[in-house]
Amino acid sequence: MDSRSLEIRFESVGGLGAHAAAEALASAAVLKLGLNGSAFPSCVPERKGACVRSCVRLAPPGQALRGSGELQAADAIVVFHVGLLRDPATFAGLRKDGTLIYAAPAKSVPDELAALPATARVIRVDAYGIAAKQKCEASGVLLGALCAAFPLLRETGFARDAKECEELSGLGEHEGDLPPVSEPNGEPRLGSSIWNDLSVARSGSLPSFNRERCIHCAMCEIVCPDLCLVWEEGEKGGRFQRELTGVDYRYCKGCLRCVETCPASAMLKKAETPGLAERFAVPLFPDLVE
Amino acid sequence: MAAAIKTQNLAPVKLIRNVPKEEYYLPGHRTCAGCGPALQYKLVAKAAGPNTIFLGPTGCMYVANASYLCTPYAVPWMHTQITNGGAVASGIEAAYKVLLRKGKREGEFPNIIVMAGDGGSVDIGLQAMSAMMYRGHDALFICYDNEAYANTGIQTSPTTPYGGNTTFTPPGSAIPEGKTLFPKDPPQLVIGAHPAVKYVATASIAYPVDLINKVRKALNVVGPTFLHIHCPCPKGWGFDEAKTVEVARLAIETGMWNMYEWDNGEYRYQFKPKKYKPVREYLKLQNRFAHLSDAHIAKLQAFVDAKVKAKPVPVEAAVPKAN
Repeated sequence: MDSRSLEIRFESVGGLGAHAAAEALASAAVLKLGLNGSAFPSCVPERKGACVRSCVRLAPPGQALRGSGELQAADAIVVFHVGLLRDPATFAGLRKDGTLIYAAPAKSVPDELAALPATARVIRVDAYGIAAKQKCEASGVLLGALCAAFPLLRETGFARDAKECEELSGLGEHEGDLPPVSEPNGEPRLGSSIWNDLSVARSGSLPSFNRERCIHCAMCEIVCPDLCLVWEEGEKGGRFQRELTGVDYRYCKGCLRCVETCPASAMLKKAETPGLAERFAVPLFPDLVE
Repeated sequence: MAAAIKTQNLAPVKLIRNVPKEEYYLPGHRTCAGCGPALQYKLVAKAAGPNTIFLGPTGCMYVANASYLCTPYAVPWMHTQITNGGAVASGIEAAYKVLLRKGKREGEFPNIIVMAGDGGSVDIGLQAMSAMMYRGHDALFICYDNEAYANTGIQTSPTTPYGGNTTFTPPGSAIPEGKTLFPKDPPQLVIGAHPAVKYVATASIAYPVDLINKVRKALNVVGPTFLHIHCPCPKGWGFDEAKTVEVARLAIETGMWNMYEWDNGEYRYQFKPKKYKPVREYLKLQNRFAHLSDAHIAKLQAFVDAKVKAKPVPVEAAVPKAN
């Protein structure tokens, strides 16, 4: 380690164990490697399904670590959910010699990775596949991949076999360091929460809507906490006052309460595959949200 | 003075299809998938309508909703500290009365609703809530009860049931049941000690039309009112997100939660089952009770049996149809 501290950011969704992994890494660095270290979440990391960010800073002995603000720049960024890559804030501040580790099955290379620095290392690891096979936590697999990628961290005892990881090259197109989180293009989105995209909160399944079966009884509407069901005025002189037209998956967190409640089986549980939600989404605010 | 200002009469709704379609609690909030309190918020906002001011003492419904510079509210909303939801409501109510009296503001007196969690109402926020009710301010105080401090990592609160596993009451060899205390009874706390309060009710997200009607009834009353709303929390209680409403319904069917209104001295019960299901059926759905032994469950069952019997003689009323 040079005189500069090593800065690592864990980008995750609440419930996946990112903060626990960050704390474990910092503790091991302090207790086993004799480094100075600190781990801190960006905010209260207690909401299951919400975007969370945890930061770890490590420094050589003798160099004090001051401050616990969110890391604006990072040497390594670990992404726990591939959906998070859609938001440029996820990899903002990655240094040109930095490392990005993301959890995704083999051959899954999102287009968004083109925004990374050309000189940065990109590592893909099928953390969820490995975790399911070995009956362990995916956060442990990702932590292992991170420790395997940095020689300094191998002694922590978390490092896993580097063969599990795939190093990708030729993806990034950006010259130099990426700008930090606080400098997004344009203004931050203020005011209403309707501009938030909560797709990453879904854990693998979504409700799929079948209009032919729907009896427009609004039972789903009255149990949905997220207002993601889109209604239109019923046909004039028709049977229904209002008719359900679909789901805005931008807001759907996949609790599947509508599926549980639907008396006509018009809402069915479906495994989410890439692009599925975008194909079937009906926008709730077509004039406001792009 | 208040009586001269507030003239609104929010009509009760009979069926789901009569529920207003306008929403004042928008999507995009960062609550957990399957959040019970968020559903409750949506229904309360629908029932109250556009002329409403929400006050949010710190809790899940403040932290998860109002994240950095954006909120899901389409009506005025203000954050208060967890201790002083009642005090801020008192101030806003008093200020509005004066502004209307002096003609500095036009229009109808607004619905002032404090949306406090169990901590913000009957634990940390108790003194301010009690003071607001004692002084008789015209505001509705809602305690959305998810039976723990869920936002900070599921710590025990006074409404956590006996035997609940929380981060502050973990079961172990010394204390095998987890939480050893039985919960507070917020509505009885309000009824028993606040003469200015004329309407108190309990509600549940399992019966949304009943919930909407109780909110409207409470808002029509001039003076302080209190609603205690049962909101299962998938994360804190450890059940599948899709089962939130089922868990809420089972709480009523087993007697763990009782639905009633107290209207100026008169009790009316709703959804009172003819025969209560055993408490075990409610417990087995939730991880927070997974460690309980038969002896503990029997103790909880005895508590529920006594609670169900101990209520004052009910005045039989037309029971609204289950949704």
